[in-house]
Amino acid sequence: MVPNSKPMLLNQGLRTSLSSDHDMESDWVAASQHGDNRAFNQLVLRWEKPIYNLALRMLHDPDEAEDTTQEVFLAAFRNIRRFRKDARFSTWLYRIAVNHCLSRLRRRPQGVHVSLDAERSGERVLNRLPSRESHEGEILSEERQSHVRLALQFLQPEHKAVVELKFFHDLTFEEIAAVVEAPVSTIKSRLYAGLEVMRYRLGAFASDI
Amino acid sequence: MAATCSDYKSYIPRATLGDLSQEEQKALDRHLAECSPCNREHRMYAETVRLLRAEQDVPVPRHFFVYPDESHATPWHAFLRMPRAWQAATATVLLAFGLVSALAVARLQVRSEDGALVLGFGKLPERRPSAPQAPQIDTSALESRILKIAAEKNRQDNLELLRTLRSEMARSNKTIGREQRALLELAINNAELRMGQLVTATAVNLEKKTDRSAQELYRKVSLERARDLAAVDNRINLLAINGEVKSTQTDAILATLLQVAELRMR
Repeated sequence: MVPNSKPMLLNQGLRTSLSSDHDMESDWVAASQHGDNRAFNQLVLRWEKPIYNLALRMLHDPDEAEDTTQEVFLAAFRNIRRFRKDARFSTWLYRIAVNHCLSRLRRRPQGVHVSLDAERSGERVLNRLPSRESHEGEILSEERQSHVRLALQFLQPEHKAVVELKFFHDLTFEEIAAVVEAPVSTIKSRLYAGLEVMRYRLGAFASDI
Repeated sequence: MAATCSDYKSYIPRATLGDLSQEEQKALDRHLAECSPCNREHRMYAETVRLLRAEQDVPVPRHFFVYPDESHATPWHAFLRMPRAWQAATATVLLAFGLVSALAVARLQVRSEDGALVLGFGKLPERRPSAPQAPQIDTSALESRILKIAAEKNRQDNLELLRTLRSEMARSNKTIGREQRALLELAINNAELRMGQLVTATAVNLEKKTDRSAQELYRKVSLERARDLAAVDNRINLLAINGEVKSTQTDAILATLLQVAELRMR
């Protein structure tokens, strides 16, 4: 199984079918519940990128995001038997990830957190780009991405979680409500409040275009 | 009442996420066609959403695999990893152990006896009779009784000692040797000699004392006689002075007195 760069819903074209992936994931979950760590590591391979990027955008710190991602998968492995198959594994895993990130954010002092290593991940992307063929549009795109990540730091932690799940993981309001364990109306109000802040922070880029 | 720009601006974020009803969406579209500030606001929201959605995930710096040693394997884990046959055998053993434990617990009886917990299975032994209450002790009576007993014992001991001494003395008298007897006789002779000397000395002393007493008596009698003579002389002198008329009678009296004096002298 090749790990996907985006959750299932965004990359349907890269896989044979949605149902076969879902069946395979169910098998891995069932095997993990019987203590098979190789099956669980298949799930890790499948979900590590979305979870790491969620942690990176929420925490804005590559080292902390790395630690949090490892904690999330360890917690998931230890508690996999509590996972009920009537829910989606992704919802359950996102809930663990969001709770870990919120817990870390609550421990931080008030204010916008900017890590000295925050741009490291961006550098990795730039390094992977062929420097000779680099053109203005790609550099601008990278700059916009770093602005988006910085703008996210101005959101309240709960708003940030909802914006993250909605725009970067394409979850529906109901799925977000299941992850955050809050009513859909609360999710919507948090989302629109977060979106308003983002529009204010990203206004310069929006007006350029 | 017609909706204002402020009302429509609240629709714009919802519209960008497709969260408006058909009527609300149509009304917003009509307003946006007429109102350039709201139209600009709508476009900025749409662009913000596009920017957010354009965000790309970065690759992971490493894999986040979980290994069994990191997962704090529990006995349940170990059980799950066993082959089916082993699982069945383990489950049977555990079930039997559980049943025996449950039976033991069901028959377990706990009783508090004299401040201590008594555990037992099945019927517990009969409760031990509690110790009788200690009677009230009259210490003064007990003390006097003890003293009485001690005194009686002491008296008996003394009597026994006396009896022993007597019997020992009798036995000693019987077994006394000849030498001891000779020594005893010598000692008695010495004692008699010493007593004789003592008696003699005492007699001498007594004689001396008797002589001294006679001398003393003589001296006293002499003094008395001298005193009587002086008295007689005084009376004679008095008689002589008082008259010579009674010469005949006086001579007889004097003669008598002289006789008396002579008698005293003896």
